[in-house]
Amino acid sequence: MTLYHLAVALHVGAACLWLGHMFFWSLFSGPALKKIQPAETAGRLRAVMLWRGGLGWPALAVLAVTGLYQMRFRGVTLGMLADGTMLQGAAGRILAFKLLLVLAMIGYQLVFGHRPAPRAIYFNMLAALLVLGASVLLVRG
Amino acid sequence: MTLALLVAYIHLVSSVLLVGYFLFWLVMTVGLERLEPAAEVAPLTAAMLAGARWPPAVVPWKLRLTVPGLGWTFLAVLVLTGIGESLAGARYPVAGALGVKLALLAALAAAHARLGRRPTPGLAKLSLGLALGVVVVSVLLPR
Repeated sequence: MTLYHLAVALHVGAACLWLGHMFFWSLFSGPALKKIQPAETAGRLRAVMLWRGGLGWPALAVLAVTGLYQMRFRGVTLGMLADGTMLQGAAGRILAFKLLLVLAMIGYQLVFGHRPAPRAIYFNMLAALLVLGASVLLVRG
Repeated sequence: MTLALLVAYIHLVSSVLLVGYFLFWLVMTVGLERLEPAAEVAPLTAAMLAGARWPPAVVPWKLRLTVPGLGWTFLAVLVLTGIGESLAGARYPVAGALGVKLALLAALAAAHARLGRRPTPGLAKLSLGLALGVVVVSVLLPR
């Protein structure tokens, strides 16, 4: 395994943990546990489910470092993003779109963090799904 | 988006969900073990295994998935899309990284079969580790 492979593995692993946590808690386990009867049992279980959070920032730190390394490995610099050189190719535009969505997700993390955000969470999940789509296009497209 | 890209996308999303699923088990089992009094752990675990169903509405109760049922569904989608990707043209030597990935996946399925019946923090840690191991090995597959 090369350093590049290690960076990709850490990048994908951190994304799976962070986004998997967000998707599974919001779409599956939260609604499923809420319906358990009696309601007191449901409340106890939901309290247990939420005892550990705070995965967002560490995952984002790993994603940023490994993502920047992969960009550099592929010959893309932040300067190319800033002066628009990167937008000349299809892959560059996809990467720019992905980075824009990641910035929006960082914004969500800054504003809401681990607090409940009944509406904004769905925009955040949509952004996450689009980020995953852009990633597939970058690697396989 | 071509069919091959769509299959790759579904494969990636199901991997994300599967890792989230095993992270849920880790958080729940460790969280339950910290509960006081300890006598509460077994009934709460049983309530979760039997009473938590998805989707929580619309579908008749009997057809809703239990928590372990969700895990099996994610695993099934992962396997089916993986086979789809192989049929779409990706040819890997089975003895190499794909062999390791399949072995880890088989171990994960076995661990999940136990986790779905008697969840413990140790089993949840093992399952999450195996799921992340599958992700790491996938990186080594040629693109």
